[in-house]
Amino acid sequence: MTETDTAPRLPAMPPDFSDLVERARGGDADAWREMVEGLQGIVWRTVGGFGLSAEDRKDVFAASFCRLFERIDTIREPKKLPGWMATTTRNESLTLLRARQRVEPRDSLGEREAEAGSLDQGLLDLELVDALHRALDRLAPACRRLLELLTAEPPLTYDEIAETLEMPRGSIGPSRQRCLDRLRTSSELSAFRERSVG
Amino acid sequence: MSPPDGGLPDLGDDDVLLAELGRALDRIDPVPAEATLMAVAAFELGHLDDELATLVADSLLDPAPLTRHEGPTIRLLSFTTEHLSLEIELGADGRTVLGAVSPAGVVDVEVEGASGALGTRSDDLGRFRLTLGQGWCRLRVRAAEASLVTPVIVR
Repeated sequence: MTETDTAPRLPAMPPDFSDLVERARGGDADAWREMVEGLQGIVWRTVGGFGLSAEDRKDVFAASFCRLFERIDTIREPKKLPGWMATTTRNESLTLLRARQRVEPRDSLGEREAEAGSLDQGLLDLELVDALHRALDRLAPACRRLLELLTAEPPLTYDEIAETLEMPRGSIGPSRQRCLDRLRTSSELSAFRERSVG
Repeated sequence: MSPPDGGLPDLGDDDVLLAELGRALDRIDPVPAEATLMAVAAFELGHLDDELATLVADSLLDPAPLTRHEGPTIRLLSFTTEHLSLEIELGADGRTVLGAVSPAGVVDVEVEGASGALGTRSDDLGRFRLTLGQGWCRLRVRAAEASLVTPVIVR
């Protein structure tokens, strides 16, 4: 076991979107592509917390980027773009949820296409990935949304997460702890831990 | 990462558990390539030479609907610019659109979005009918003297 193997993912330096925003405004398609690549993790995770079908999730994802395109001239502080995207995506997700008028069952494992495991990945590790995912699916929506945002890349600040989820900044730390506890003590993870010990 | 010796990462540690969760989601729930392509394509599709209309009303977002329906219902949307306004009624199927442009007159209407583009022409009172494809879309209206494009509509 090496140090880097167990270290939490190091928060990457948030990309500087100022230059990209400027260039995209000027019609630079490459700059737009880079922006999409830089923000798509946040958008995908944000929609992921809303329990939409796989098709609707992709639709909200694309629509959120259309919204960015429409409003790109109004983005005054490109530093805040990740938070702005998360909030916009949340609003689009809620609109679509309303249009569906009921929460459709979250796409199950079957719909989420798991990539084939690489040969060097141990069975235990694959099982952990699967157990974590199933456990997350069964958490309350509020916890799911929070944990999806907390794992987004590039990382969102607590301020941005607070604004996106409309919760007080001070409650994010305690909620994070509570939601992780629920994840940890879920039957999926407990069973997994027992089995791998035994 | 799981330790290479096959042991368990210390899931009792919040930071480790969160990192493992992030890693699991990256593996099992990555952004689909086709979604990325759709987002990249928004740039090509989105020439907003026409004036971007403001959404002034959306029945879906009414805070307190008078009655609560169980099934899907008709959705009304209004858009406006300084020179034109557009009202559309989105059917319960989410695809049938009845529209009206004012001031009344013959206009060309184009739909663009996830399902490609299609178009129609209104009658001389500015009324038109369309059937939308799947996914997000926006409507573009070209009248004799003015034009508008709506923000993206998610439905």
